[in-house]
Amino acid sequence: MLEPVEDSQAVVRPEDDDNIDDEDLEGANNSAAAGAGNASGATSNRPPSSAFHQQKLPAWQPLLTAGTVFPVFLIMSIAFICLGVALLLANSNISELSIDYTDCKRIGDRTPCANLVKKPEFYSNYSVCQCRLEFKLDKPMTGQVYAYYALTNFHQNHRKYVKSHDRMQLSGRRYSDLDAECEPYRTSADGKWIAPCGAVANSLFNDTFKLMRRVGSLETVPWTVKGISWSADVARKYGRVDTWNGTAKPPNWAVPESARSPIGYTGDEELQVWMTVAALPTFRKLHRRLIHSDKSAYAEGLPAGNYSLLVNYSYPVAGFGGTKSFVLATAGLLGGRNAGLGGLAIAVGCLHLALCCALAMLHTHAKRNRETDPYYGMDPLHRALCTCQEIIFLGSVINMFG
Amino acid sequence: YTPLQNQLGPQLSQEHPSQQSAAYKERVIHLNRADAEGRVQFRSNSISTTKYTVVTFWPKFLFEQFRKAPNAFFFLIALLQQIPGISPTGRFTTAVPLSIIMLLTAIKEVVEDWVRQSLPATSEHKQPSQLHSLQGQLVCEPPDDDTTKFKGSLYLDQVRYPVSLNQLLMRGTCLRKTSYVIGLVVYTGADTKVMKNSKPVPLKRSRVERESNRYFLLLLLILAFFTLFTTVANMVWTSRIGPFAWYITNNEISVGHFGAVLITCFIMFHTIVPISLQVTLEFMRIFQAYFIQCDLDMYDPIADIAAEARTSSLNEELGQVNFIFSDKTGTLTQNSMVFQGATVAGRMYGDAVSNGAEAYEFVSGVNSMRSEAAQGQNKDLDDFLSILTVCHTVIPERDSHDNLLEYSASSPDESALVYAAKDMGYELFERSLDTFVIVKVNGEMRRFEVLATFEFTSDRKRMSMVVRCPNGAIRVFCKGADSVIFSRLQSPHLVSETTNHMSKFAMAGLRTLCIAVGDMPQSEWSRLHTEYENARNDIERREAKLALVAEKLEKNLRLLGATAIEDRLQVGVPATINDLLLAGIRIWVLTGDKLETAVNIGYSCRLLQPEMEVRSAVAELSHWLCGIASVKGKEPALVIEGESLSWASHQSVRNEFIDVCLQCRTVICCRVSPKQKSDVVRYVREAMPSAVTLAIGDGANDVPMIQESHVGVGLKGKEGLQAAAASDYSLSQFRFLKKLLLVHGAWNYHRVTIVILFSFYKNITIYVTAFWFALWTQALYNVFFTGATPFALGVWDRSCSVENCMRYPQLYRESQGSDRYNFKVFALWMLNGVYHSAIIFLCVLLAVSTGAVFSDGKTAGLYYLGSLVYAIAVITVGLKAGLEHTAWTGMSHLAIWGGIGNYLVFLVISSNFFPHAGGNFSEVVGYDRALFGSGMFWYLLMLVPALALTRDVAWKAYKKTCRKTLREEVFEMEKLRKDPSTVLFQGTYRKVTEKARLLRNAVGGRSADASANLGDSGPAVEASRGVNLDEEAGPAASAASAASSAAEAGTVGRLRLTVSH
Repeated sequence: MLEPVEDSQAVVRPEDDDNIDDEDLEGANNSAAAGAGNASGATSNRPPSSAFHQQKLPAWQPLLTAGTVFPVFLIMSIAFICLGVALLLANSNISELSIDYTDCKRIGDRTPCANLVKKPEFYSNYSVCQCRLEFKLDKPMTGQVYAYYALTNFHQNHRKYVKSHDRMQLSGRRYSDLDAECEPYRTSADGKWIAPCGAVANSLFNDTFKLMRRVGSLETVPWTVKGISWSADVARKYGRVDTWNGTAKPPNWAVPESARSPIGYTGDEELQVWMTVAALPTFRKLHRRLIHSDKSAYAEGLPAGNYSLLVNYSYPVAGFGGTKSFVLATAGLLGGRNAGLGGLAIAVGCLHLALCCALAMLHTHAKRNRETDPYYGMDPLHRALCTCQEIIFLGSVINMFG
Repeated sequence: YTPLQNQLGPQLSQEHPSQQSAAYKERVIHLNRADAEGRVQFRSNSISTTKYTVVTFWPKFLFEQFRKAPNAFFFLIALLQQIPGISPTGRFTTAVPLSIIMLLTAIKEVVEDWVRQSLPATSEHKQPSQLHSLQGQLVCEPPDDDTTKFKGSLYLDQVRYPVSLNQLLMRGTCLRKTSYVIGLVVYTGADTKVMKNSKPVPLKRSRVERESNRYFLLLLLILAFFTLFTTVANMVWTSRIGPFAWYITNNEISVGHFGAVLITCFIMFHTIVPISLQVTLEFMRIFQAYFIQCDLDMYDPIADIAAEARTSSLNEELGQVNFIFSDKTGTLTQNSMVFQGATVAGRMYGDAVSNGAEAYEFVSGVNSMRSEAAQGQNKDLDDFLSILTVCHTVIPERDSHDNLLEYSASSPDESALVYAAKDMGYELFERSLDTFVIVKVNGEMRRFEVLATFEFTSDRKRMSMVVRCPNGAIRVFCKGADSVIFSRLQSPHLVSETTNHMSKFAMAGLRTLCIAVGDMPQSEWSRLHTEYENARNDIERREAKLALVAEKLEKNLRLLGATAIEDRLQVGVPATINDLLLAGIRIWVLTGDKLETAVNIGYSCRLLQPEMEVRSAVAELSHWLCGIASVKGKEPALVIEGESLSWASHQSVRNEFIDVCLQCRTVICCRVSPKQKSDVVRYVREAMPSAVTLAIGDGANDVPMIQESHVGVGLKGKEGLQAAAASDYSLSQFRFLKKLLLVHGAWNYHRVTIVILFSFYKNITIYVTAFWFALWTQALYNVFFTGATPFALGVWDRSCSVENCMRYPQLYRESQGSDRYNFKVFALWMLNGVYHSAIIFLCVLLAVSTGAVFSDGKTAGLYYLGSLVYAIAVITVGLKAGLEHTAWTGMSHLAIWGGIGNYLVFLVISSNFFPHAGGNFSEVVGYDRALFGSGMFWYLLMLVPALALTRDVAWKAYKKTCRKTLREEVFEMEKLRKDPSTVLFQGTYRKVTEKARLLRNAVGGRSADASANLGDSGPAVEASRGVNLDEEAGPAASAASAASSAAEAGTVGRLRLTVSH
């Protein structure tokens, strides 16, 4: 009765239209849709038919089964094992010599420097404990040799410590009104701005070294401080300072920054290296680069022989249980000597190889199962049996090889 | 409707309103009186179905937002960050994103509410001037929510006219046969029955969202652990080493220090909770909703209506639906009846034939009937068609040229019969109410004089007419339900044949009506005539008296046959219902219709199936209780009437009742009010808190049900837009529900859950490295580098092809339960994140352990390590997202490679262009060259993601080889271009049914207890149970009981069990 005209038609309708099944439905839909499409436009609420709107964007649907995954693992394992072997070989060419001088004794009275260089005394008179270490280089170090100092148990990554500096001051854009994070190394007792401010700068590593080679007499090994910091630090991160008026040196420092680098922070690469705070409490920082001039004895690197290291010991670490070392090393493509890197790649490669084998077996096994057993993988009990078989199969394979 | 005055004929009122107790105040409405007494203030007629108003928006919105645990959490973080010197991440890193997210969500809510606000106010009426003079008053009930009752008295010129529900037009009524009505407004605005039945728009949240809030608490525990652990570790370190670490200042332990460290750690680690998740989800859902609206498969080209997602927060809920509550009329059926066949004098026109499957198709008998009627040989057929043409209340409407416009009937069944008769040559030509009917048979006019009319009522279940035929004989024409007709027959002649035929009709889901005729001697009529007139003129007890007279007339009838009418289902309904049942969804039908109709529809839309055991509980005069005895091998189905329902839903027996219902494969509730519809939904929700319910309907009476259910679907049908306006999703056809659930629901569930898991995972992966190291990293991680990856997953991933989702509804069962998103899954994902973060961190640690990482011997520090960890985490997480994609669209590539590319671009920009911006930008000057220039970076970039994801890939490969889910199996078949049906119906189907069985057991376990309880549920109940095989005990057997005997023969299993007092 809603639409009587339609009703009367419905009564005389041909019979085949009465039972609507899916096919009819689709047909009706299509024809209706086509009809709407023809009459397109004007007032239609018909949604857009693009692939995007109909969620029919073409898609790549990777099938991650054992069969498709094991070749990938195979390729990766070969690649990683090769990479690892290459890295290990390269690593063996990197030389490294580390000398712990924490407990070295003062020249003369043989007093351990660690006992002398403690914080209070150190502050008051900037005393330097001079000590000497003798060592022998059995094999020459070839290539560019770097001198590092290494500290342990020194928490340069402590949150308060990390924050305690003023980037604007270091970039030369700010002279006064320094960042409050620098407290208590922001202003000196007489009200001057400390340059550079903050705990990081104040705790600058201040031991100095002199490396000498014994060739009859002692011959100083030439090295330079230039090029120890990142080029971006020198060029952009640290700036020039036009005037040092109204600034004071950090309390722990013996000399003000103006004496270390008159042009400003950009010239003080030691400071820059120090201020690139270390990530871990055990760290190493580049101190000097050896100069390998063509005609000198150091043209090829550092020759084998006896060496003497003169240390101006003034940095206190014994108080917090730290150690100090002097390191001579060359560098490879991935930096310093680190057998772990190659080892890791080989380990990953082996893991992939093992998984590759396991999945390949699983694949052939599953395939065989699928072909012979119509109920493959469906029934929980059967599945359990299948797993048992797998284990036995794996075991027998291992036995075969073992 | 004719104007109200005509309708207000003297009617029988059972009770005068004023006689009712003073428990409630009756409503008095004065006609046309503007004086003081006439001015009674009623409620304004304006109503609102929106969630928010201008005033309540911000409070309600903010409350709703901060009720979400993550939002409250981030608000707290934002507050804590305002404490100076405490935050390790800056003051606005949380406040700004949170504000943006809130603002975007607010905009989304406003837009959605705007759409919802489409309920128009009642139009202004024009009053014909003569009505102004009308004086009187209407005394009626105060406003209530019962749409089945209305009583009142209209006093006009001191004459009282009883007014009942027949005279009440409810809000939302559509005028069909007239362009206007003149009426008296009784209830306005919020007082209207429809509005009384509706509840405030509920704020719905999906099950996934609710569960996610729980998991969020788990994350808070982890956060608390990290915070406390780090703080305590800091205290220990500070007390042991702090005094000696002269290079660090202010390093002493105090309460203040402890507090500061605690808050700092809390703020630092809060990043393991992904702040971008909420906004990712919100926007993802907007896209998902948009795609629902764009779906051409859910677009009805005839009505030009596309699907509409009125809310986007329930997209994933569509993938978990366990129960569907459906309205019948206008939802399952078109509400248009079509005559399909008949049985006349033992001959059946049309036949039900098995279509191979369980269902029967009906072959129409209209043609054979027409040709036989044209011959004019069959006297019984002539009588039969005459009754169809005469015995009804249909009025033919003609235009000025005397052309038939239409037959106007109050019931679609009647008009269908009259149209059918016209088609067979018996045209209802003219009809004058209560005096004569003129029928045109093959050009010959026959005039039937109407002597008496007894209208159809639901109690009598029949309609009768006394007519004087053209040949002068007085005859009684009667049509009605088999049960009432059979008991009034002269002899059982034809009864068995007719019942046989009727059962075939019923099998094909047709509605049947028996036709009988009786002869009446003139003498007897003269005697009854006066009685009839007396009854007619009785105002108070008219109906009862007329019924008595009818009882005397309707005797010694001769059975002619029965008609079969199809209540035309909407297109595709049986197939859709079949598929939804296969998908493990239970479908309940809640209708205002009669029981018989509802059962018939149940059969024709395959909701009830021949092998099912159908039990109906009909309320008679008193209480009843229906217990279900388990019948082996048969699935039970329950049919219940509203009146019984209201009793069964009484507190004391409700749980048992619901348990019985849950044990049934399907439940059909008929003659239920809108309130009851929503009650049923509520009972199910209460009984099964983990189940997701969906209600679908098209009329205003479905609104409460739509609002009560987890997901409300409205059909934009002929009954107005109220249901659609109150719904969460609106469709134009029932069959579109299938794609909405099986494709959009399943996809969106997969997408939303994977995105939630992935978002938590990625934050764990990156920020737990911070825990490993107590290092903080940039806050941008969430938004630009890995923000798009979950979005691509959430918008464009497709877990299965549309074709297979639609073809194998079984796949839906996977998303329905919580197999793929539960605590275990969540915890495993989080553990995976921790594992990945550990791999990344340990590898980087190994790499930078010497400090010298450049080939030129230079050393790197904290920020280098941070950037390295970060870059590798971005790549690992991006690749993991790729691994979780089942379909890599262009968008996935854009998101994954784009996210990684974004990071690299960001690194270049941040290390070059802001050397003096302060903060982190100043710290990372030159880091692009430091990273890209170091072999270490490229080496780790290659190795670490490969190592971290090895487990994931291997496990996936193992699972997809040995422990495939159904969906994966189908997916693989699809890839290999094989027919998935082999897996579905050989082995895996067993697995699925196994699951279904377990599920059923889980539900059944409850019910078994319940039915055990039912057995001894008290003597009062026990006493009230009397079981008959048929409601009318007597020699005449009903079609239904005949059907039950057929069940024994193995063809039909419909048993009708009436429990009465």
